[in-house]
Amino acid sequence: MRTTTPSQDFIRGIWIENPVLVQMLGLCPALAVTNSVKNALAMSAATFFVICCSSVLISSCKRLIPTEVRIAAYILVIASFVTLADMLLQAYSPVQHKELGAFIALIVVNCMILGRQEAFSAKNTVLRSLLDAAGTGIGFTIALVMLGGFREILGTGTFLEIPLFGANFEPWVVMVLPAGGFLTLGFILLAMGFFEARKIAKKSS
Amino acid sequence: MTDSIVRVTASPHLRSTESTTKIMWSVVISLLPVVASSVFFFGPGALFILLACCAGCLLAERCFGSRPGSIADGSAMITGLLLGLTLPPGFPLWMAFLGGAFGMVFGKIIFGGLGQNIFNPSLVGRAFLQAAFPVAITTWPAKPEHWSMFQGDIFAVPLFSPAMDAVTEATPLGNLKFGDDPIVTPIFDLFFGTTGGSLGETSALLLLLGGLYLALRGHLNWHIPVSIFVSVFLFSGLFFTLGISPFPPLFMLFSGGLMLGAIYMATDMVTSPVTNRGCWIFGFGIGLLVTLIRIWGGLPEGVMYAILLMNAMVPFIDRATQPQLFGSTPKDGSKKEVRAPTGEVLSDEFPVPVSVQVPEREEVSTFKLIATLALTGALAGLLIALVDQHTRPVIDKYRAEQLQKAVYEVLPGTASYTTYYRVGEVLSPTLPEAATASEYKRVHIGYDVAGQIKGVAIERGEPGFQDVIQLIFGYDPQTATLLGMKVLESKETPGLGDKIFKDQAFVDQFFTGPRPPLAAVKAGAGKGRANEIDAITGATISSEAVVDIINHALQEWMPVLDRGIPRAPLDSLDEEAKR
Repeated sequence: MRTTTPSQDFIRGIWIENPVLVQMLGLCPALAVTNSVKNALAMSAATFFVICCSSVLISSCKRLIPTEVRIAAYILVIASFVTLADMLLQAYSPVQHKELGAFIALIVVNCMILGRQEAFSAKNTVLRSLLDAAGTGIGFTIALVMLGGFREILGTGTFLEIPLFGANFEPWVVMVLPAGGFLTLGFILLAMGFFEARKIAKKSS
Repeated sequence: MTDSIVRVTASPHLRSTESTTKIMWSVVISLLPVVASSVFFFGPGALFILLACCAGCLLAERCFGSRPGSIADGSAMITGLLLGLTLPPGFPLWMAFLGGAFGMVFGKIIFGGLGQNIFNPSLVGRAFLQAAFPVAITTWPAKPEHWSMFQGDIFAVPLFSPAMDAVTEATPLGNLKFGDDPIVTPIFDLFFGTTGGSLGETSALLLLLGGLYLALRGHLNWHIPVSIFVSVFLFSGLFFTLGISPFPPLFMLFSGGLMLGAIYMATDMVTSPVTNRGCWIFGFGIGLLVTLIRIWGGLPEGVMYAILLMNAMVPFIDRATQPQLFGSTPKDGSKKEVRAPTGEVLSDEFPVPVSVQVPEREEVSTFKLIATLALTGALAGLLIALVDQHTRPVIDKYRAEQLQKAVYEVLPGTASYTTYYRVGEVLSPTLPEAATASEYKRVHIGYDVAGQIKGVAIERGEPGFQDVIQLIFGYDPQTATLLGMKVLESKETPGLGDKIFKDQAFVDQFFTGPRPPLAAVKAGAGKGRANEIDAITGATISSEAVVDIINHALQEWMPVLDRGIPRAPLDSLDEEAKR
């Protein structure tokens, strides 16, 4: 039955099945906190921590959890790790914690994380689940940094708070507003669709 | 082949002599007087702005357009001209170019090109510019001394801010809505266009003439502009006579971008309803929205948003006003029996499946389910408690530092402060024995260098819109005024409620000495009383929560503070003297 190798498990989530850009999962944090690269990185790090820990724990306990209550159990596990991430961030990076606000707690309902547990960790070994979770987490990070970078460069003229254009830059205010998140995501998807279509056209000709 | 008497051809047999290209170019021609008037009123800079918009549109169409040669049909040219006409004189050329290209790509080409778009592309471009560069698009430079001089800094380097003109001019709408000395601009000026405003919206006369020309040639459905005018006139007349709005109905009709929007943008054939009945609904909706936005909106003008919103409604209007096809049965919901050829009555409802095969599954005892969840919960709790023990002191230390900073912030001019606990009805600098700090409420009393009391800083938390808002504020009992306020913790909605600490204008109100008990009023609706705090638009509940927290805290503490405030302890004075 097994059709993938461990390395495929890892690589798959990074780009080919990127959770945000291809599977369209976890869009709430992807749109809400990506008004700067720093916020995007902090959110990605917290999510990476949660998805890896949850995948390891759930894949190692998969035989103990009855099917009937598996979703409840998964959510419990995910919620605990989110609480941990919340407390750790608050203790060691209080400014960033304040910046992200309620969105850290909202990682619990990130469907990307629950999706990986249900689709992968519940059926595979601990190591493969960890690889799969890490790949997905990296893919999520790539997508968020792309969004955050695009929005921060145009919205404030900086990258990681380093000014790129000097003091006289005219910021595109819309990019740091919620509308900018939707615009940027749409633009990235448009560009990806464009290149995908061209690749297919090249193959068929 | 020789000429035959009968020729057989496929339909259509009737061909109009009109074509998209012909119609589009006649719209361009009808706009020429408006373009000329904008150059006449605003100087050669107007022409540059219009050309920049057109260049953006044409280039986008050339690069990304679906059909080769689609530039020649003139639709991109119209989009560029109309966008340019909605921009203020002195608008930087690079922004105008960007707006044109954005409107073209995101308003038209991604929907599939001409005839497929939902929204008017020139308004999409303008909406983007409004959101991206809100300052530049609402800056109306004063007219230069000589006609040939350029207004504003239109040649600003791309991506960089334009130099701001010191002298600006208010538009008739902005003047009446936000001006310190609101005046109603005479209708005569509005009609001929000798007022400030966007490039192409000043002269109602030329716009009406252009519209008339198009309507006579049949390129424009006159139902749309007429319904918009009627609806704006009716609604603004109603609100004006009721005394709710300061805008007289005629002023409403001839000011701002209404003429340009109603005649040239709402009538875009692609984004307006098909039937005349639909056009009346469409126009009425636009008129109502324009009136509402102009009277109650945060911006002076609302034509753009009104048209875009109604554009989105067009598919629904078209469905609702679809004429009945000749020979079809009315859609009144009356059901007819459908009979099968055998004579039995057929039901149009879905057949209910008789049985669904459910795979057999092992029964799991309820006890096991509950035990699993309880065990998971217990483990999770244990894990959290362990980490909490580790992180709690770090978080508490940080909070204490933040609190110290906050006390100095809300008590400006304070050199030192002492924390007092409320023990019974008395303020005590020390806690009773065997008591923890969290059991007692506390205040921080600030002293200046001489040891004089500067004020009292009080912390309090109460539910806001999402979760508890924790804040600290400074209060001067001697003058009974507030000294400052700082939100310590809140989880209010990002972008709206979080303005209670991100919106500097809101926060600053607490530093200008308002006199409690405070009252939150709608922004701009205040009467200048000393206890009024302007609420944040869109975040009334959060703003009111802040005001309530301060009022409740003072209510609670006043009896204690009235008994007298302890003077500076000696040791802190010594410390001061040593410095």
